[in-house]
Amino acid sequence: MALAVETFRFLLRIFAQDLLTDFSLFYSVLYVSMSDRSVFDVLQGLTSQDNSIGMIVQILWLAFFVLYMLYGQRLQVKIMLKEIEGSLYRLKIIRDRGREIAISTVKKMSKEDNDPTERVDRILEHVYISPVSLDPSGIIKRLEHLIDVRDFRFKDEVKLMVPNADETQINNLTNMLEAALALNQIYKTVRHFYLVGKKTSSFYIILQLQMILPQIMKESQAFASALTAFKTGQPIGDGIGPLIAARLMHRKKEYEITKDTVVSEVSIDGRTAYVLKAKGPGGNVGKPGEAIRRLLEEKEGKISRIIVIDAAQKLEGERPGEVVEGTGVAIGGPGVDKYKVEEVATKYKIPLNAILIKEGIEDVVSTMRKEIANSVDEVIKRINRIIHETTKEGDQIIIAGIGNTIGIAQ
Amino acid sequence: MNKGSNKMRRSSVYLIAIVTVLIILSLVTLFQTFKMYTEKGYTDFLALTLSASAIAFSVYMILQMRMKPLKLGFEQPKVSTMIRCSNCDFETIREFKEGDYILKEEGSCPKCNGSTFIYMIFRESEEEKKKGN
Repeated sequence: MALAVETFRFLLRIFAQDLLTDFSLFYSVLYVSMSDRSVFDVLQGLTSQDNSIGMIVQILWLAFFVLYMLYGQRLQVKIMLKEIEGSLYRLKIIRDRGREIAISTVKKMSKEDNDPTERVDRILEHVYISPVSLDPSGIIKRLEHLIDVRDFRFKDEVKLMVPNADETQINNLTNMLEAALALNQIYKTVRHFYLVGKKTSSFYIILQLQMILPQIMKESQAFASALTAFKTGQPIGDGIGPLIAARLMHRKKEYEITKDTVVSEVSIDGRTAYVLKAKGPGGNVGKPGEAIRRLLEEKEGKISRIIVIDAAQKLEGERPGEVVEGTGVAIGGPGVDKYKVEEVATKYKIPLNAILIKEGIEDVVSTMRKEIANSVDEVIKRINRIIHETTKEGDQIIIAGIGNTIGIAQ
Repeated sequence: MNKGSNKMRRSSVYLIAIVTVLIILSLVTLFQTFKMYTEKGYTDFLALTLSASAIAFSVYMILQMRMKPLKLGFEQPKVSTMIRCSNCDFETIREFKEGDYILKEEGSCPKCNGSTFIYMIFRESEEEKKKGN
């Protein structure tokens, strides 16, 4: 029995993670440790059958176990590589289909004979180089500049391909190309690690890639859905912030405070709320940080509260569309807008409230699901409660709906 | 694209071959156990358990292979547009049309002749659909 336990431990060390490993382990242990006899007894029993076919079958089984013990890890690497290859193939199909959709949409909208394939391919290979962080002083300004330049470059490319497109179409097409670019980058990165792992036969490179692969697949499927949503101009999960702002701004006069960002003056419970969002209905995130900074400078800091509404990544087990409250600046992205709001709020000592709408990674960039859209009334109720409890009549507040406003006007 | 499909088919043939070999081995073992029992009256429980569970595992693998459709994410979900009247409680839901966006004016209300607008655009999630069924 002790020998059986030792054998079990030995087998356990050799056969680690995979399903096939578990399967072989199960049968190995079944043969050895479930028996009351020693390994030799078991082996003797197995081969003592006077039937020749029986013996061949038993030898085949034993040969399989011995080979697996000796070449287990190599076989496991091969199985893992095969699994990664399958996912890589799916990523390639997603990337290619994304590219095809991007080219056909541009062709359909341009109404000209020019073939946009070459230009689209060039955009899909576009590389963004982040600013140097060795000397962090002034990095936010440099980061903002680079993001702006990249954004202008993309929009200019779209304008060149579709000269007769309006602002909404240009924004939607730009978003669509961004999604196609993300799919291309994901595919190329996974392919890189797959090939490196294959070339070096490194168990650990392959293992790490295999471990994060489900997450990568989920993300690429989300980008694929985003592409479909951007193509048709449907609101996406990330647009919940602008949707709430739009509901508050509905039928109120708005003005563009900064590039692609609009503000409306709304009266709520005797207070004046400056509600801001990105300019829709084209795909656009605007510049909420700059807008809040300008509003505060204009009002010389006479704002009693800033309420920021944004979509937030839900944890497994949380319900999509769940509303939670917090303190701080709920603005995602590279951090430029978040930094600006934090800086100006600190300068004027203005309290910051965050209202977050929970959603899964697959919902953020795909067409807005019903549960998320239904959270609007709950968020508005919470805004009213916060305003009522923490400000007094005649106060001025800022309400910012953060996110991509595709498919949402004002 | 065709090249890729062949590759996909090849990998499934490879899996089916492994499962087939496993089933054949198990069936032969099962047959041997049965033969031994009829000839000598001895039941080899170890071989019996091994082959029975190997057959069960193989059937499970085949079912798993059959149940996996290739979902890429480009499938167009069912998207609906909810229209509301600004004056009365009129509300209607129709299929999403290209060019729809939230807060778009949508003509006059059939109930009070007031103005209607797109109140919401949403998709039914897979989980919701399953619950509905």
